[in-house]
Amino acid sequence: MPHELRNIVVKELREIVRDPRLLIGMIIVPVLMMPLMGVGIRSAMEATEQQLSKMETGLLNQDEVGSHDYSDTLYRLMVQNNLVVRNSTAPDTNSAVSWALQNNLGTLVVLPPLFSENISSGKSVNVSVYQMLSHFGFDEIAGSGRMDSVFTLFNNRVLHDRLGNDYNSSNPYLPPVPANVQSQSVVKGEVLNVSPSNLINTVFTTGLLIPIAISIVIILAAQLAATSVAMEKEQKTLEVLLTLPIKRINILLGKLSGVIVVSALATIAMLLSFGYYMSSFTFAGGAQVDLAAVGLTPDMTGYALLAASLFLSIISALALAVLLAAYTKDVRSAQSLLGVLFLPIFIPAFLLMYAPIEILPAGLQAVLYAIPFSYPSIASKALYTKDYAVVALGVVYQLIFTAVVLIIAARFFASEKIMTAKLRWGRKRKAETEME
Amino acid sequence: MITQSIRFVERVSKMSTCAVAINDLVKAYSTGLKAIDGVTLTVNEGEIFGLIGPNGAGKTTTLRILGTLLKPTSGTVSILGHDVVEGQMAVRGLISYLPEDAGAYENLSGREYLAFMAGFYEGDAKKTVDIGVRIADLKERIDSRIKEYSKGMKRRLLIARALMTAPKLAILDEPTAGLDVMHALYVRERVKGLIKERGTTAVLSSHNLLEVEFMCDRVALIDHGRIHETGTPSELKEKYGAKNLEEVFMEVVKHAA
Ligand SMILES: Nc1ncnc2c1ncn2[C@@H]1O[C@H](COP(=O)(O)OP(=O)(O)OP(=O)(O)O)[C@@H](O)[C@H]1O
Ligand SMILES: [Mg+2]
Repeated sequence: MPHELRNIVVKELREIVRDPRLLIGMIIVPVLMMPLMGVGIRSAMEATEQQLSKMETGLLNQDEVGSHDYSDTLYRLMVQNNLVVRNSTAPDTNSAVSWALQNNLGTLVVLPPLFSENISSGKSVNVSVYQMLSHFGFDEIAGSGRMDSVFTLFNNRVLHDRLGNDYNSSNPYLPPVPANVQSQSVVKGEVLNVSPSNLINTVFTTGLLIPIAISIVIILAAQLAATSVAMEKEQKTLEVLLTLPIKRINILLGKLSGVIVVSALATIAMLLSFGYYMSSFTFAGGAQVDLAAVGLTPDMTGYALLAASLFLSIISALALAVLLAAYTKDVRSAQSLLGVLFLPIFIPAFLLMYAPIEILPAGLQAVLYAIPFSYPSIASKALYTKDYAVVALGVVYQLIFTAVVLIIAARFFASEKIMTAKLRWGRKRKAETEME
Repeated sequence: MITQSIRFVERVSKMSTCAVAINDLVKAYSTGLKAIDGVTLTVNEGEIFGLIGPNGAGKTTTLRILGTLLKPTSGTVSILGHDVVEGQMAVRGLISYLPEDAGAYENLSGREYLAFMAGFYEGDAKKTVDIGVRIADLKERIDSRIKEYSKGMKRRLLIARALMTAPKLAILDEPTAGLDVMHALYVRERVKGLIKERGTTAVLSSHNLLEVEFMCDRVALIDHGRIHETGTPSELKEKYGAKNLEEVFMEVVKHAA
């Protein structure tokens, strides 16, 4: 390497390594980010699997008159596929659904009267499968998928028995499927005539964007606030403000209000584009479910809670960003230090996309509940599940958190620490000398 | 001889009202470094007082304490009878502080910046801005964005900001740094004129000893956080048998080291 180039490279590296903020923002945060996400997502997956293995299947067998060979076959296939099957004694489908809900069963299969007879005679029989949905998670999709594969096995078996060696599943002239599964979803005790996987997919695709978009708005707002404070420090305009005969809390609040107005505009812009995004789904055919038609449209309470938790997330992120930036001397260090804030904003949003908070291990749940930035994600899920209590408590918690951060920031602004910014001094002198 | 005794009488009469009283001031930063190490000084009302000393001597630290930005570690500082810690709000109402090497809000115009600052003071803001515009003397460029200003134009705007509100005490950290000869001269005369005309007080730091000699009634020479000399420029020159303040400076710093 040419001498001059090497000289400059060495200087650059030295500056980066010696600047604690650059180190935190560019190396430590990314290094932590992926493992933390990995651990989080792994435990989300494990929780999903565990949830699935606990999920029991109810069976209402009305195939009582005549032969019941085929219902026996189906039962055996279910057990062979590791399903825990419980038999219902309910007199009809409706009471079986209530029975399944009371006993916390995940899935309910209803075999109609004359099931075996009709299948023996080559008819196609409709079988209703009810999937109970409480949190629209992957475990619930998997639960209904598990039943679908049992029926695929069953149908193959029946056709094979019927056609012997002539059976070939790729034959286009196959007879109608013996057992025709009618998937139904049960949400909040109500039976909806849509397949659970389609329903969850729709909720997921519409709900997916909310936490991500929210995180982006929060981070942009935090960046704006940090830059504006760091700029005042770098340019020493803050130094002038601090010597004016005005209350310092007003400097802080004025700064925050300015960014809040801009962030509010950003949020409105985001909600508008989100509304457009949502409305584009009502036209989409195919696998998408019209949520309005099945009574799953979010209500005002849901939106109000989402807006409240989003607003408080933004404010607390802004207050934190201002505090972080106040510790730095210039814009560059403020922005790299801000990287620390990305962890608690992005990780909950990603995790809660994969798994609903209530199925996660207790430790992880505690961490997520403690992070104020989790609540917009939780609130966006609650738009569909209508579990508002947690969100309401979360909003109260966010209020307290924000107040505490604001008080700390106000104290910081009132003290001389705002001037001495102890993280930077020694390094800057060195950096300056190297520049000369 | 006669002029000197007149000066002496003037000084005694001024001493009755002292604008700044610094008593055994110590300031240690959180790094443990004692930037000011037992400074005692008084600045009289109506005086322009200069702080001179090498880089890192403690000039800015002293001025920041006067400006209520930093708190003394020990010792007391009072400005026109108000303690800088207990009476910081009162002090802030009396002073105006010009940081060394400062910027302004780049997206405002010069006039908007002055108006923003004038808004924090009582009285007719428009009049204050007009005074500021006149002090800055940026002609039609007063209405361009500050980001289009040169370093010296910015400095003139900031000096105008500091003086337009007629503070009882102006604290100016290297006011003419970065100005060309002509503008430095203009600013010096302007600052001196305004302070004398209004009978207010200024404390400034500078590395330009020519300027200090021209502007300041009295000077203190500070190094390693201690005052090594105080006096009028002519007193100091006389004491060291020097032609100018630069020679005094060299002599004092050599002995201090
Ligand atoms: N925030 C700080 N933290 C730690 N040490 C500081 C801080 N500010 C200044 N110092 C140190 O205090 C001493 C005095 O600094 P000060 O800025 O007052 O010097 P100065 O006389 O204004 O110098 P210059 O002529 O270079 O402006 C220096 O040694 C400096 O390194
Ligand atoms: Mg200085």
